[in-house]
Amino acid sequence: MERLPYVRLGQLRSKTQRVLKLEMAMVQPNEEQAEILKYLPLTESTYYILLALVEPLHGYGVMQKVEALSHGTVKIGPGTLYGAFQALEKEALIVKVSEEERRKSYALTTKGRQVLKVQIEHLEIMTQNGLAILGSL
Amino acid sequence: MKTMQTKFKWFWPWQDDKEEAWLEQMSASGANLHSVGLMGIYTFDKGEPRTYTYRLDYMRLDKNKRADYLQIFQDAGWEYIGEMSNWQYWRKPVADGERAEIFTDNQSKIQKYRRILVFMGFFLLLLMFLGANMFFNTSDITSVSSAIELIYFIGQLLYAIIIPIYIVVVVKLALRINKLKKTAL
Repeated sequence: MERLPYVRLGQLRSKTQRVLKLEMAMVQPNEEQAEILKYLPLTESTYYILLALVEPLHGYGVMQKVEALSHGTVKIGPGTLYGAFQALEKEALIVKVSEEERRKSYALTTKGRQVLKVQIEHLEIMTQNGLAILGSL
Repeated sequence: MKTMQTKFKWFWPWQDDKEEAWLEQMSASGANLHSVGLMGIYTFDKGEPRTYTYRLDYMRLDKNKRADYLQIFQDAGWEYIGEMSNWQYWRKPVADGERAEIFTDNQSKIQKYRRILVFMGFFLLLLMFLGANMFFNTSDITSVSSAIELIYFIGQLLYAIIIPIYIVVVVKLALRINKLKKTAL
């Protein structure tokens, strides 16, 4: 039987503990956690837009970076991006850092980075669960 | 020599995709959209047949939004045609059979129809404000002249037409949003 090398029992156990810890945190999240968790799960587009904005970028820069990062699996149209910029700025997950020749550049805020971090944790658990369960079938 | 052709075509807000398809067909037959005017007036350039993707966005553009909004689309290779009552007309040449989209997820498509609903909310307030006078302030109707009475009657008749249409538009848009939500698991 084929075995996936990265699903070791100990690793899985620590993951489970993390899930439990996270679930316990989710039962009664404090105000700060609730503020982050209310944005999750992010859509695939929003996830990649935030990821692209770890460095300041303008609209077209984000579109190009997302397409490259996702190996072409995620493309972001200008209508979708414009709406996302507006919504993310309103929620203070990103902030305008400069404006040159009618092009606004945005970057992640501390809050935006936290949201992204928690989303990545969730995704990691999802991936581990998927690999552990489907990998052992 | 270039010749121009002007057409009038009405469309309902839930039929924007049919409008896009129609503009695409027009381009394929050599009538390329040149500009849009007030309430359904289209001007076409009669010339070479072209393969374009046309897309409509619904966005109220005030002065400080406008430049930024246009720039993002233009940087992504979209050509701006113009605006018709908050509808923004965009097109992009089809390259290698690949069709570009301005909205790449259901979330943002839903947001577009929500923007129309929000605008219609303002419209309803306006209708109610104008209508209140006609429908409820009729206590001294006998004392006013027959000319004003006639205006009120015409106004009421218009409302009898506008309100059902209004309801249909809202329901159709809500159904459209619902359909988009269902496709997202």
